[in-house]
Amino acid sequence: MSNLYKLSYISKNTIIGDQANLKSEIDSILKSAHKNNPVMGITGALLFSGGYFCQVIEGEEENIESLFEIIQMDNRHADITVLNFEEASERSFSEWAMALAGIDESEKFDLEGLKNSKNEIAMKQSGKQIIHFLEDLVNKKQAALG
Amino acid sequence: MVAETLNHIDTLTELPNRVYGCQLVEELILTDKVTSAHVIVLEISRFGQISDSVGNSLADKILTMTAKRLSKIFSDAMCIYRSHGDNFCLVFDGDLELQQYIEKLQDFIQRPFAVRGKIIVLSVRIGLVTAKLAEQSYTNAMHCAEAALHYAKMNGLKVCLFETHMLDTAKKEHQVANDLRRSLISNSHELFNAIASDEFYIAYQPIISRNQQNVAGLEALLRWNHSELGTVMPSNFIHVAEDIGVMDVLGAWVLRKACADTVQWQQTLNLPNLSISINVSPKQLINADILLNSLEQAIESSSIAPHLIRIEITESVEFADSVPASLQKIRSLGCKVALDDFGTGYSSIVKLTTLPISDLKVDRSFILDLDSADQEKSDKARIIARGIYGVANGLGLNVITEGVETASQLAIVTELGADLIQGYYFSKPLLEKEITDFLQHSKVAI
Ligand SMILES: Cc1cc2nc3c(=O)[nH]c(=O)nc-3n(C[C@H](O)[C@H](O)[C@H](O)COP(=O)(O)O)c2cc1C
Repeated sequence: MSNLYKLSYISKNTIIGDQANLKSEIDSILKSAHKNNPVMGITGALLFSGGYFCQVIEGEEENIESLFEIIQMDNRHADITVLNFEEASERSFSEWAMALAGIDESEKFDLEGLKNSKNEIAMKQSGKQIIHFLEDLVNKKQAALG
Repeated sequence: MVAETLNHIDTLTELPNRVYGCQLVEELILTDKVTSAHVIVLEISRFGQISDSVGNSLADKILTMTAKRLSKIFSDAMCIYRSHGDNFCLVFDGDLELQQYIEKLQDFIQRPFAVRGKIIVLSVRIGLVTAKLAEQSYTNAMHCAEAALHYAKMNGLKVCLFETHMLDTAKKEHQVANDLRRSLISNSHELFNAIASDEFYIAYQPIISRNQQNVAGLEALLRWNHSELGTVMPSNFIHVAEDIGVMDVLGAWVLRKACADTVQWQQTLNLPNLSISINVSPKQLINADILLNSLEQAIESSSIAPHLIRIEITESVEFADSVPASLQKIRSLGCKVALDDFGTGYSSIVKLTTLPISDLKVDRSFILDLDSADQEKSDKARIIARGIYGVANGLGLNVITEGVETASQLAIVTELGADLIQGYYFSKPLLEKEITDFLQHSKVAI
């Protein structure tokens, strides 16, 4: 694909209620993603960790723009910080409409620290790290499933 | 009917335009017997700058996306329309709670836009009023909300609730804008002559060299002689000139006139090294091609030596990424560039190394305290002043000390090593006709 872009962001969860409620909302997010993303040629991964969402979406630029506009207007999260939005040579999650990298309250990734980093270069760097981190998680999960 | 609708809908955002929006609201007020309404007008802060930095088509896209967001978030609004440019108006039933709308508005508008590989975060200013519709018309209420927005803009507020006095301020500003437009446009085929009529003039304030014991140069200060308001200072009309798009013409005139005047004094008074300092606004530096062009023309038509021109810039929030390159181009023409008002507002020490400047003007606020009766204050001012001179010297920058008003201030800055000095102690800004006299007699007076 000529016009491949990747966008990664983190956002604060605003879903209220217990763990079950959270799970069911995340299910519904994934359901939407599985339905809509293939139509737009979008792939990616989503992580829920310590009160934050962290997502990577990849696809054609126009489609990333429209999907991101939809996602970020979603009431289930707020305080969105885009880490990077850049052209890319290949997809990291080509097999996944939206891989769930994990739902974990104790994930060791320092999302809070990331969000507070005001430095754009550091932010881009973190964006890249996050993509790798999610790739790792997704691969591990897949291996575990055998 | 279709044609009629088309005329009423803003083609870019597909929202109603101002005229049609007002009409819709007025109809709704009648049919639904609405007795009170919240009118919220919002403006995207510094949208012009965003537009300059990302280009018009992307800026249009952001406006379209903003309109979509507003429609999506506020599906319960009575009406949402685009008033003009980057201004939108939202009208809600007055029985509902206002605060929640404002919070929601700020939250959603300030979420990032991802467009063409760029992330753009907007901020908005909001003016609002809750109107009792039995007592005032909708149009009237909208004007009140707009006056509140204007007040917010002038006072650096994010949100401003209408109060009656804001109408006066808005009216005065409006008058300035109108008159300025008239002064500049009424005679557009002969714009230069229109400006050169006595309405606009340049006052010149001498800059004295302590070491050379002479007048080293002059600073050109633009003034507007308004028939009712009297002399209007640049701080009160430059932003208007920028808004209505005449700053380039006005700026070009100042450059041309100041250079020509200076050359004339150099020749007639035998002061070949007399320099001229000319201020340019931050906006002129964003798309600097026009400025550079005007500067080249001023140099050519006056035959002034370029190194005798000092372009003075003031740091501002509006400083775009393109500014250092623009300044570099000014330098390559052989001119000097001075950072004005150093030590106040947005200027920072870091900027001294990142901007290609040759000169530094120390702000008057530092000088004011130098001979303060309060010993602690004057000691501190002295330490800061010494520090600034030291940094500037270390970086090889020329320092011009502004705002010297008393003999004791002069004594202190001289002791600290200041050479170039400007201020009321030597002279206030002078009219063209007073300059010759001053320059002739200054030879003995300093
Ligand atoms: C953190 C987060 C990530 C989301 N990711 C996607 C996504 O990748 N694709 C998608 O279609 N919707 C996603 N959504 C949901 C959208 O905001 C929106 O609810 C959905 O697209 C509505 O589509 P539907 O009505 O077709 O289900 C996400 C929501 C959140 C809060």
